[in-house]
Amino acid sequence: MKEYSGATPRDQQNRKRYTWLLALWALVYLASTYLITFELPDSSWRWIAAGAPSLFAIFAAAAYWRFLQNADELARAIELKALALAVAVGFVVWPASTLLAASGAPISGAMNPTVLLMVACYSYGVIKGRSDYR
Amino acid sequence: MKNRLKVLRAERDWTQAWLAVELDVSRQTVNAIETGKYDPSLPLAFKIAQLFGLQIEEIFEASAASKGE
Repeated sequence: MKEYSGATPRDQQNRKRYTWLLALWALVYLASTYLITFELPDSSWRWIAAGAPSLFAIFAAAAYWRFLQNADELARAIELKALALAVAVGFVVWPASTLLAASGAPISGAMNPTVLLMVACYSYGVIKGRSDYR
Repeated sequence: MKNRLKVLRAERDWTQAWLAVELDVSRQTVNAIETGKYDPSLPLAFKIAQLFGLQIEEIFEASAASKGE
């Protein structure tokens, strides 16, 4: 008899797909940052290097969308709650950090905590959701 | 929402894992429904009823709080 270890095989496959694309996006992002900073500062190729990560981000977002569309309904509910939490935190933190930066607080673009906090809240939401429905 | 899923499943000697495969959901979803932590969608509730050969209301029952709303 076949059994699902945790998530359904379809969810596992779709999750693997968007995780790989996210990893690829991170690699391309780092490579682009390096190229723009050290190799291509004055070349017109830097525009291509700057746009390349977005292409992978679009692929990753599409893969995540596909995962959500086809996900087991409890997995989807957990994901959506985690996303809602992340968006809510972003909605609070982004304007606050922008205003704090304008007021002279030492928050630069690279140090903006919004994205990190959103990712942390999303991760917390997923872990809490899985634990709540265990 | 209360349900008799656990009892019905036990009567048939079905495991959560087997039921999960038949319903095309995760075992965690079956467990969450059985323990009342998660209310299934209407399509899933119909699928469950069909699998057990029962009407939805023979498996699921609105709790007192839901009835009052």
